[in-house]
Amino acid sequence: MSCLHDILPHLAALGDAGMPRLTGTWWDQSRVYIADIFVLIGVVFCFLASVGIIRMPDLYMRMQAATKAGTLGVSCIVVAAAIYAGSVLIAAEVALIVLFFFLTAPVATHLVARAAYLDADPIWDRAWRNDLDGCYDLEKGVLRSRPRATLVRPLPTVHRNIIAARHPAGRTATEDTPDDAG
Amino acid sequence: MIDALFDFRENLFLSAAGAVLGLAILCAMFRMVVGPSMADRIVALDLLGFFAASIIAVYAIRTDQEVVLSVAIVMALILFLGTAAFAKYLERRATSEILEAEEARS
Repeated sequence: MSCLHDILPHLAALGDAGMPRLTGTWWDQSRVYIADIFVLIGVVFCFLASVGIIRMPDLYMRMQAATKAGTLGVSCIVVAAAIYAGSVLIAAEVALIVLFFFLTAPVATHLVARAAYLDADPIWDRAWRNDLDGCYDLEKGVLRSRPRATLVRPLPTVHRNIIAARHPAGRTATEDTPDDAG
Repeated sequence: MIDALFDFRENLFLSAAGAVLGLAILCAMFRMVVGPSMADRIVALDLLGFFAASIIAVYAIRTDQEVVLSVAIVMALILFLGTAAFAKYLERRATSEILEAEEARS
């Protein structure tokens, strides 16, 4: 009993947050700082996600900013918690969290984007292309894929000029300049 | 000096991380209140769930209680359920509105 009395204050000192982490292997000494680095990365990505959801002009852009940056940010912070804890059980739990986020975030975002498109949510007025135009069958609620020929559109003139300059005898050049071929 | 480093990371660094996450939550709530359409609010709610899980993780690091990470698991699951349900509701509402408008026109 007296032995326990002698040890108890030392145990209390060990339970203090500061010193006991400095003893041990290299991993025990430095994993706190590695966890700090992960927390820093995650917080930066979370902040970028919040900036994106405020500043982006369009629902769909807001959605991609929020989902991609938010998923990476929360994953980094949770991984930091696992590194800080340093136990296998917590690491398994954290792997489960990261798996859930990486599985469910794209699915949820796809559902919301589909619903918003059907709800005629306005697209940014400076967007120059809408691949889903006329693809939804509203009565059956299915998405028809568009015929391949309508998706392929002529390249802009700049690109055609670059391709013609790179391949002077190529197919593109002869197609674009029928005068030379004839 | 090492004591000072630990004081910094225990007191200041994690608190600053929590403060930045709180600021991010405020931004997401701004979008949830202001957001012009309902889909905006759903996306903002999704992001709020992400930030809540992040704050739970930072709290777990700060107070040395890794047990609270279980809350983050539950939050991830329920977040997906809520978002999917809202999206399904929005899609059904939009589809029925469009079909009603077409029937009224024809």
